[in-house]
Amino acid sequence: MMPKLLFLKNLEDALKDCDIPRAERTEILEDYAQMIEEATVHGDVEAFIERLGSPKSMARTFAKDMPRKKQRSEKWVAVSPFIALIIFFYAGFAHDAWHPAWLAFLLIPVIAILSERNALLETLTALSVFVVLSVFMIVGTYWGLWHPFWALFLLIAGIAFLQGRHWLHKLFGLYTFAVVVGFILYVLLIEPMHDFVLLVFLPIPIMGLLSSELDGLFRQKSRQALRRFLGFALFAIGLLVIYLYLGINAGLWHPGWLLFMLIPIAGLLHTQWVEKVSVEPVAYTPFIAVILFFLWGEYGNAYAYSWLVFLMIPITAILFSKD
Amino acid sequence: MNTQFKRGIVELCVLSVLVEEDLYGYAIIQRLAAHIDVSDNTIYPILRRLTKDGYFETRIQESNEGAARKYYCMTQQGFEYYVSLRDTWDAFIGGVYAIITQKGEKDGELFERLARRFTQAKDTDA
Repeated sequence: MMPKLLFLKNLEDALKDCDIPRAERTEILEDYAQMIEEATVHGDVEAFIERLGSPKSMARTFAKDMPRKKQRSEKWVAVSPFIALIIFFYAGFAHDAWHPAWLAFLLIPVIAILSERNALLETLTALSVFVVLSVFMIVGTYWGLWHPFWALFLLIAGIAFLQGRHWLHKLFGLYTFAVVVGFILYVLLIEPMHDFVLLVFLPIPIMGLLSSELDGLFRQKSRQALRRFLGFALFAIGLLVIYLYLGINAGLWHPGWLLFMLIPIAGLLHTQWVEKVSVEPVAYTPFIAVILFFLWGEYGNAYAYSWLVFLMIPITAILFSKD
Repeated sequence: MNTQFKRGIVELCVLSVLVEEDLYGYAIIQRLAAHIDVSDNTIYPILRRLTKDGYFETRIQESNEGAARKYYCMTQQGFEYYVSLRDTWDAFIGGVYAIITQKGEKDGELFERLARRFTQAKDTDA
């Protein structure tokens, strides 16, 4: 593809990702097209495009300059730890439901994500971890259905697939949703479960790999994206294998699922240390808190105290706040 | 250099270029790139924001060299903003220069004294 067209295509994608309104996008793209046209006339097009920088960083700059009605939502973010604490204490003292009332602490990152006002699918992806975890905990706690509801965690990947632009991405997303729903219904309705049914999950990490190659058709850094997806797919397959082994052989469906908390943690570490994009320390805390809460609660038999680890979320937010 | 600080400086540079004459996007970027490193994509977003804020108006003008060009022209509001920004910058940079050059000719003597101190500290450590 011509450098100009490729640049404009990448910029358009990046602007969409940053939720820049259509009218703004059109005007920005027209202006850049005109400037690049001018650079072409002066025989300077490649150097000029290089001088413009990466479309992603450009789009982020435009997004920062977009007017946002943030004040109100920022207040909700600030007050969310107190709301969570009130819900938690009320459910705990009034109904003796300390577990799963601790889920109220997940409101803190959820409100923070909603206040960011990103694009719909981006918001859904960020929220999916917390929604899936909440549903999983409630179903597991009240009905003991840790298995097969662990499969819900795969919906996080399903939503990520749906964010892709190629029609195959949508197909991968729909397949993942169908498999998760089908698997849960199968296990609930048909006893006993045949282990070979688990093979339906095998295409999901493979689709993860393919998905990165499809992305590569639209973006320049295909090799980098492929490496990233390959690494994560192998990591996820590894965790899935360990989890299934622990579940089938030792009945550790719970708290073995905590292994999956390592996926978002690894994603954040990768973003911070490999992609060199700064990540707020508070982003790690919900996942670390969940792991510590269950390990301490389950093996220390101390659910009455282990909820305290959730306080690390607001404490970290306050200690590392840049304001 | 700190990104926000750099954006502030580039903003002043964009205003300084357009206070002289109306120019189109490519020419503005080239004009600035001749003097400062603009590789981190700051100029056009700043140009766009200043236009939205009413500091510039745009007009389309046909060109003999290719596609029609979008010219940016400074408004009165933009000029007033430029003057206030320039005053702030002059006062700030004047203060900075006063601080770093107040030693004047003593600089050489000061540098030698500090160099001696560091050498002595190293010798002591060793």
